Amino acid sequence: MSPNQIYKRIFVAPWPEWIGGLILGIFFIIFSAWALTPFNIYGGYYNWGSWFYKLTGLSDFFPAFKDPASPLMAKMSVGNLGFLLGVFSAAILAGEFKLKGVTSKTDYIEAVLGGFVMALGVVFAWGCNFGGFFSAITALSLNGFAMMLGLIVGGFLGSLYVNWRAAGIEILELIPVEAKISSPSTPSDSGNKTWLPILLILIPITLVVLINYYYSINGAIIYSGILFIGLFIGFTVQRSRLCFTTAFRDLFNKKGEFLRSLKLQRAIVLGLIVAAIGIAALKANNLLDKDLNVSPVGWINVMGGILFGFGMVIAGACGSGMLWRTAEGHLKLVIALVVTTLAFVPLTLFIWNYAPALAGPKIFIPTVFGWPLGLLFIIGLLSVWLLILRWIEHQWRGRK
Amino acid sequence: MGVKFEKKDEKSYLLDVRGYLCPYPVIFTRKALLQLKEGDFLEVFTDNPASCENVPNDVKEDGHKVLAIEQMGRGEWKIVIKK
Repeated sequence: MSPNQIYKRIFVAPWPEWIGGLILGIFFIIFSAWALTPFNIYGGYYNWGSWFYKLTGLSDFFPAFKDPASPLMAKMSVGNLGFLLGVFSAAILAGEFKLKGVTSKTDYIEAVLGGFVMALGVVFAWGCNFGGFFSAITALSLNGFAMMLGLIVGGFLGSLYVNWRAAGIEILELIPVEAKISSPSTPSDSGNKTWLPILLILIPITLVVLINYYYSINGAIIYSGILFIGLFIGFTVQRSRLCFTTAFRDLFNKKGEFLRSLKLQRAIVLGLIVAAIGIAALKANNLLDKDLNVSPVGWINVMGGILFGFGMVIAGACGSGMLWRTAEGHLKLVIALVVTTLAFVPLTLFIWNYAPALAGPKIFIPTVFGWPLGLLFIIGLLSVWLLILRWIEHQWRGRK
Repeated sequence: MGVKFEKKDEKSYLLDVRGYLCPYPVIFTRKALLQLKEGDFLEVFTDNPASCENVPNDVKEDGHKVLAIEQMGRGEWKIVIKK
C-alpha cells in the first residue's frame, strides 16, 4: 500500500466496528490502570454542571452540594475534553466535520426532552452507556447487566417513536420535471470550506498549553495521560462509528438499521470481554480497588436503563455520543448536552438526598462466585447475548 | 416539514435527507424507493456521515444496487442507487 492509501484507510475510510470495539476495550484497561477512576462520561458533566450552579449561586438551594474541583483537575472532565479533541481531529481529517443547525421545532423538543430523560436515567442507573453499562460490566459489577436490560427495552421503545415520527414526516409528492420551480437542491457550497483543516492546529496548541500547565503543578502529571487516553478513545469511537444509540435502537426494527445494530452489538461485546479480562486481572492482583465502578443494583437500574435508552434515541446520541456529535458540529446535540449537564446535578442531589432507599445493594460478581468463576460468569452472560443476537439476525435475514 | 423528493428526468429521482440523523435517512430512502419503478435511479443527499454506510448496506440488503457514494463537499455526500 502506498502512503496515500494507508492515510486514507486510517483517517478517511471508516474502520470496521469490531476494530473499534477491540481498541476501545484496550484503551479502557489503560485508562483504568492509569487514572484509577471509573470511566464515566457523566462524571465530567457533573463537574461542569456544578460549576454553573456554583457560579450562579443556585447551588445554595441544593442539598449536600459540594464545591467542584477545577475542570482541568477533575479526572473525567479532562477525559471528556480529550475525547472531544479526539473526535474533532478525526472528523476534520475525514472531511466529516460540518456545522449543522437545528431545522425543526421537533428537533429542539427532542434535544431538550432527550437530554433531560437521559440525565434522569443516569441518576437511576448510576451512569450512562459507559458509567452504568460498559464500565460497570467490565468492573465485574452486576448493575451493568441491569442497565443493559433497560437499554434493550428503552432502545426498542425509542424505535417505536422513531417509526411513528418518520411516518408523520411526509416525503413530498414527486415534483414533475416541468413544474419544478427551483432547480433540485444541490449540496451547498457553504459546507465546502477548505479552510477547515486549519482548525486542526487548535489540537496541538490545546495539548501543549495543558501539558505545560500540568507539568507546572506537583502531582498533576496524571491529567496529561488522561487527556491523551481520552483523545485516543474519542478518535477510535469516531473512526469506527461505535454508536451505542444505534446498537440498542434498531435491534427489533425492520424499518431501521438492524444490520448495523447487530454489528455494533457484537463490537461492544468484544470490547466488554477484552476490558473485563483486563480489569479482572488488575482487580484480582489488587492493582485496582475492587469497589471501583461497582454501583448499587436493583430494579431501579433497569428503569434507569429504559429512560436512558429512550432518551438517547430521541436526542440522537448517548452519553459519549453527545460529545461526539458536538465535536462533529451538530447543534441539536450541543443543546442536549447543555440540558443534560444542567439537569444532572440537581436530579442527582435531590433524588439521592430524599430517596436514598431507592438504591439497591452493591454486588461485585467475584465475591459471589469467586475469582475465575466470577469472570467466566460474565463472559458466559455475554456469550448468551451473542447467541440471542445470532437468533435475531436469523429472524431478520433468514439463512443469509 | 417534509423531505424533498424530486423527479429529475424520466428515470432518475433525487431525495434530500440533509439535516436528518440516524436512522431517518435509511427510513426515508426505503420509503422513496417504494415509489420508484424497477430500473429507476435514486440520488440520496445526506450530511450524516454514518448514513454513507447505513444507507448502502440496508438498500443492498433489500436487493437494490448501489452505484456510487460520492463526497459532494465537506460533510456532504451523494449516494446513487438503482432499484
